[in-house]
Amino acid sequence: MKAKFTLPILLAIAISVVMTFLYFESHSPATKHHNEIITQIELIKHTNFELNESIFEMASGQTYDYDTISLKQQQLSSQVQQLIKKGNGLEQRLDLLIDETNNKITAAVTEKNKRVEHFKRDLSFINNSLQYYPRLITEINNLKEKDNAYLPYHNLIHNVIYFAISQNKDSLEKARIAINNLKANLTKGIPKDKSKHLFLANFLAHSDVILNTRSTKVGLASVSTTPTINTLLSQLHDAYMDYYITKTDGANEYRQVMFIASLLLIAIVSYMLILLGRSAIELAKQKENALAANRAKSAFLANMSHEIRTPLTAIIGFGESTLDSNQNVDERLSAIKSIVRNGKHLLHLINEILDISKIESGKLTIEILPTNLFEILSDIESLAGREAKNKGLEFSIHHNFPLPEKITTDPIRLKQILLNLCNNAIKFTERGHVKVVVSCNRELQHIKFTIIDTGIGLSPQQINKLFTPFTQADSSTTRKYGGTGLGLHISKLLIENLDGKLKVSSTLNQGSQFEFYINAGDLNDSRFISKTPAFPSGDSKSAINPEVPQLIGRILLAEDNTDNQALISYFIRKTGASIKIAENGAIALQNALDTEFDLILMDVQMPEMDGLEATKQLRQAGYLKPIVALTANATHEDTEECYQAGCNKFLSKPVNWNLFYQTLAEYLPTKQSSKNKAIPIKTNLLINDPEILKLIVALLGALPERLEHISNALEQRDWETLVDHLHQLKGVGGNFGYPQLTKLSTRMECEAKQHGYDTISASCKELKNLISNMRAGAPKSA
Amino acid sequence: MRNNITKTLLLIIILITLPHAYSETRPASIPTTSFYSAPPKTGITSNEPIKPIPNNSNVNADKVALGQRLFEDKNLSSDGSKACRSCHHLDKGGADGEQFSPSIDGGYRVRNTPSIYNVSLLALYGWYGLPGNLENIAETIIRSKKGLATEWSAVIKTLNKDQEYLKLFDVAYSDGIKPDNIKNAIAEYMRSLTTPNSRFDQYLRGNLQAISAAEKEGYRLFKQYGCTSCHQGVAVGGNMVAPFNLFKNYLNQDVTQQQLELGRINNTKDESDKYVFRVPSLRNVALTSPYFHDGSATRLETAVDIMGRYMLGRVIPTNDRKLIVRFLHTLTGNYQGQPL
Repeated sequence: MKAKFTLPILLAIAISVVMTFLYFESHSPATKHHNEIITQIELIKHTNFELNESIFEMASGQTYDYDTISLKQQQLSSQVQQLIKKGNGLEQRLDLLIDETNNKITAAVTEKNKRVEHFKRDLSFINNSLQYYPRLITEINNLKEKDNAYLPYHNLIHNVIYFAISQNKDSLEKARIAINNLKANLTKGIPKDKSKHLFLANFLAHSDVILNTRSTKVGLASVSTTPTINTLLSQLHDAYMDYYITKTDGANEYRQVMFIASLLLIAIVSYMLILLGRSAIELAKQKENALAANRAKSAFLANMSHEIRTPLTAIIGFGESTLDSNQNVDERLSAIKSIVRNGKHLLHLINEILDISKIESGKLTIEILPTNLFEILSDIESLAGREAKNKGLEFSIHHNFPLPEKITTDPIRLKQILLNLCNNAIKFTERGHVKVVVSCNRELQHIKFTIIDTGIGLSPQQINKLFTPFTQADSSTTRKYGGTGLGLHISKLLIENLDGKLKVSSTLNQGSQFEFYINAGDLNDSRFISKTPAFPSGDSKSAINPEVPQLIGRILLAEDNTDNQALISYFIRKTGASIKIAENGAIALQNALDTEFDLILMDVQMPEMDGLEATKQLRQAGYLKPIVALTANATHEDTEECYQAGCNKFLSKPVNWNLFYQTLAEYLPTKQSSKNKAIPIKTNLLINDPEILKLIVALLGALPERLEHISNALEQRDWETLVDHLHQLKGVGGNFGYPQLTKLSTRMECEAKQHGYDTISASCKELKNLISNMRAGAPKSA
Repeated sequence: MRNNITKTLLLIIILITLPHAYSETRPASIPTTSFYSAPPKTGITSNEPIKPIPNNSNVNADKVALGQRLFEDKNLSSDGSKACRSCHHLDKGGADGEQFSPSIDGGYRVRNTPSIYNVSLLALYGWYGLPGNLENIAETIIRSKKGLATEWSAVIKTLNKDQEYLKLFDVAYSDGIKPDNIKNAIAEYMRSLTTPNSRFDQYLRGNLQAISAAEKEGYRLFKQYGCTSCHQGVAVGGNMVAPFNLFKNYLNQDVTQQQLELGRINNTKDESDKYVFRVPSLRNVALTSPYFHDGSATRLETAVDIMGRYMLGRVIPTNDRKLIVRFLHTLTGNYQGQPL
């Protein structure tokens, strides 16, 4: 859950960081600021235009003062300064072109102002002189001189006026030369009338003013700078626009990237939201399931307690009834039978419950093995067939050949399912037959089993409830037919565990049909056969009365429950093996280390020290004798724990006595039955001497008597006498070539010294056997 | 339910985000504001070279009050001996009547002090006729060695000590005492020093009886001799510069001051600015004796004579000079409604 969100969250954070960066990069340049600059440029252009206009007005005599021109000059300068200031205020402006153009504009404006100043003064002077000139001309015209001394002045006037009107360069040249000559003449004293010299000099000065101002400056030279300023302003305008557009385009690109990033972010966030929503739904579902499971469990528990109480009531009730001493033998037998039946039912019920809990908790281990299909079918036939026969029903298995000989499945579970369904069918059928049809679908690798009966059948409503635990088709059926109501549920679960499916179809009062298939594994390598192979019919191992083996040996039983002590002792004693009981693990440990036992039966749950701990300590102490665990905890883990602790075998309680005896026989030597299998034991002395022979025969004849003495001494717990007898016996065995006797006597002597009654009584039996064997192998007297 | 909320939220996020991401900044549009504004009508005779002074000057009274205090405060100068007022007396035609005013360093200033009246009507400042504005002039004088010879830090320190100033600055400006505000206040005061409503202005505005026949004749001669070529506009001069040696080299008179009297070239380093000075304003000219940059002419008639010879290249007869002088007297205006 966490891992699912880590990557999207990291991605989202990364994208957010990128978007923050993009956000700052995607800022457009300050539009307002830029607009102000552009406005300012236009304003300057306009001011420049107005300045030019006012200059023209002044030059063309429309106005007579320079106020407007001066104002516009001032405006132009300050506006340019403002423009540069604004441009410098523009952020991240690295445009050299703008700076360069700014400098050029400043220079151009300065130059323009200078020229305008010149224009102003020149215009003033020329206006002044031109205004005065006609009076000067009149005065010159009035001058009378004989020798045309003033003729050059008339020529000068001509040229000055001509130049003033036409700007003719020839006239300018001529006028300048003339002025210079006339100035020189004045210094030389020409003309002779000195009283006119001041006037003439003044005239020449005015002429000079007219020529100079007209020729150089008043030609509205200032206007010529106008295009420069306008061009520069246009360049600046373009430069700013370029800068702005570049910036804007850049910002827009970042904006687009930001858009994509935001889409990504949305996608990631949506993804996370969807995940969140999904997990919320899952959570709700899980919660619902958990609640349902809990409800089911509660119902199950309620049912279970009912189901368990019912047989227990019978067991306790009948058990109590047997305590009544007035009960006659028949009644008591019937009560005990009821107790056994109900006990078995209870066991069956608990087994099934355990099965269910295993399956439901997922702890059911399915062992898929290569399995002989026909072997299973044969077992079913023998087991179910017997049931059916007991009830007077016909039971048959129909093989739809070809069928694979070997399939891959869990044979134990398959058998359980089949047996369950068959027993079910038999249980609910009064008359008619129960039939199992087996077929195979090679393509789907399915083996299909159909169990058909002619029983009471089921209604559709009943079918619906059929697989619910503790629910039989009708509660009345429980009364009539018994059963736990778990069988079908378990079968269904098992079938599902074997990759199969169970289907039921039924007609009320006519019969039912349970059809299921299981996965048979890969059938390609399997041999398909068309004929039922011969199998020995299943031997009846499950005999009610187990065959009791005759065993030799000493068994230590560690068991805290006195009833169980008595019960197990009873079953052990039947074998002839001797038994010692320890109340808990600690005592068992002590006993095992003190005395030699051939087998320890170790209950797991005991006070003070439990069986597992005791086993562990024994094994640590180097104890090598077999230990068999006995426990009511029959789960897989418990078994494992037992083996890990060092147990050799594991038996579950309640004890299956058949299995119990098998286990005992596995670890203990079998006693040779004295009746049939008495082994004659012969002396290993060479019997050549008839005297010795006589003595041996006499000894063998006396041995039963001696044995009787020993038995008597044992019964009376007369240990001293017992030790004496055994000691003598030891010597006799050695003297007459019977080492077996010597060995056993030596052991018994030791046991007698330890006052171990039980062990000696067991050994006593051994001794009895040995003696009878010796007697059987007695040498024939000559 | 939960799904629906999630979907709605997503939809809203997308709807908000999409248009925002796609909205591009529009390129700046070229403003369409008109720059053409009607030129101010200054009188009924709009073709006259001289224009009347506007009767009302738009000045901020708080700033003017502050500016006046600053203008008159000797504490602002380095040694506490001089204020702007030390040279510009309102009762002496806006100047001090001296040829050269005594300067803070114990010497004298090198050129005659021009009138402070109507300084806002000028386009060019000082005898060199340099462009600028009143704020710059104020700063120049405050920091000049021959002016108040002080620094802004000192000025601000002095001002901060004075509760009255703190109050006045608080009233006039939002950001307290700082160089820009000091300059602006002084400039604002200077802008208030206009002398409108002279008799000649009344005449220009249509009151033909405002000046006498002789004065009218003087004005006619003033124009006829070409005086108005340079002395024109609202300030009757002050908006252009001219060389003082057009017809005779006036400046050769005094050799000792020659370097200084090379005129505008000292500042601009432009050869064509040699001997160039500002054409001074003739407003209140009757009150601003002595005349010229060197204060060499004490009498107005002398000044008119010199101007005729050196600038117009002609000798103005005595009678005409007298008439012109009579005309010049009509240029004396009113300050705060009172005749000067």
